[in-house]
Amino acid sequence: MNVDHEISIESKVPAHHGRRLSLPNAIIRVTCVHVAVGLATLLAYLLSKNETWIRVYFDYAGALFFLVFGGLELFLVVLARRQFYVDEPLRKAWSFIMLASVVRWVGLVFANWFSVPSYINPLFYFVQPWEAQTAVSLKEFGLLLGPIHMLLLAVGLGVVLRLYKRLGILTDLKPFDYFLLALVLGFTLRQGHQIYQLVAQANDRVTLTAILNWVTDPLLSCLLVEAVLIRRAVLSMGWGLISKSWGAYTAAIFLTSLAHMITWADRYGYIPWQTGAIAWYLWFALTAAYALGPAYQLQASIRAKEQLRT
Amino acid sequence: MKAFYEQARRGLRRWSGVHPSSADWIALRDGQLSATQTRELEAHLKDCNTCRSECQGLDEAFTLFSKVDAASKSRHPPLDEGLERLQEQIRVWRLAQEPRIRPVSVKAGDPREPWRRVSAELEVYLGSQMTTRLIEAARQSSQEVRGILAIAKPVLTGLLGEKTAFNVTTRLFKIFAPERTLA
Repeated sequence: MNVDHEISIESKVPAHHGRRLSLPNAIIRVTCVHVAVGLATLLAYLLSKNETWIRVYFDYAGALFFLVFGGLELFLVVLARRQFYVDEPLRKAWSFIMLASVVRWVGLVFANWFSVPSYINPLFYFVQPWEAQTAVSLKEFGLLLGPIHMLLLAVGLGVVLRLYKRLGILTDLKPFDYFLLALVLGFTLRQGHQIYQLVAQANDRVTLTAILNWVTDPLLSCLLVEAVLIRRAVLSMGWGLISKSWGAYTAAIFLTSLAHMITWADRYGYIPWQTGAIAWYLWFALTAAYALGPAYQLQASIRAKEQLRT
Repeated sequence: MKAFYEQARRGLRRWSGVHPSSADWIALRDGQLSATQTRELEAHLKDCNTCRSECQGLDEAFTLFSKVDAASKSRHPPLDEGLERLQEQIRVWRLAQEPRIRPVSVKAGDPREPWRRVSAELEVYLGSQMTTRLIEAARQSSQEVRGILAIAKPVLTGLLGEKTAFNVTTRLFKIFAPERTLA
């Protein structure tokens, strides 16, 4: 990032503006503290072998983080969408992203809050005795919303890419981009082959749950392709607030893929569980990245207004 | 349903302490709101210093662009054409307002200073490389100041929205014309 540039710009803003912590910075700092606490609890668990450390962290602090940051993302996306008139192209993009945020937040609430037997879960008080099967069903429902979120986000980012192309911001891809795209394509083909084998060998009827699970990887691949294109455009612009906004979405998509890959490798025993534990914390980072996207867009609008007043 | 949504939105805004948006103030100014909404916004305006200063800023900007505003109500030209006309109208208006404009004391500075400030301003939103490209393109045009505004406006509008782009370009315009202020 162009740190020198940022400093030189901020120095022109009056002192009381300079001291104020911007929303994106606040999101980054809170996430860093949260992840640091999480890593400390993991260390405490490794040293003491007492599971309570990580259980309390994930069931309480983790659940609250997803609840609050998912809600914050939705709130910020609504505000960012309001910065555009109905006939503006990015209004459409933000509308799809807003729907994606709604779905994502509902998914987070079900998968990380309602399904956890903790005292901050309202269902825990109503469903007595707490049934493990109920928790699994609630978690599965939350996770099933993932593909719908990805689909809506892919449409929204598609609109952004079309606008970038129209404005001439989309630049030619570099060899590294082609390498990334080849990786994505290889991953998709491999997953497609795996799905084909599963369908061919399955004796039972194919359920909606199974279909939604299968489309996750192709949708993620589609998002990755968009992320690669946006990344290149953003790099060619330099790090302004607009670049940071869409760069945050790109980072969120890359982190999602990384978390998926680590989880997959952990599940099939390719990596030790301690390495697989990284994925637990990546979900917090990518949730924060999703909130950062609209936060930067909003900061641009707020800054434009404030600068006009000075 | 729409009325319910509006009511819920206003209620939520009151509850959360969020100020009405620029669009709301513009709608109020243009008399596009219902009697209830108008009363509500006026009551808020009476109590809120932040919104009062925002309204003053908007009034100032509207005064500056009054002629263009009148022209834009008749039809919506494409952005480039609209910007050209805007600049032209501002020039005409400024000439007509000459006696009411008083100079303020500013140091005779480096002629490159406005460019540096414009560049810094644009970089915050568009990034350093994009800004360099825009400035380079503008320097190739015969009228550099108009050039940068004409080139930057569509990009800013596309990426930030018309409302924010309006604020940014007004700011750029102010940077290029710092030696004069409204009396």
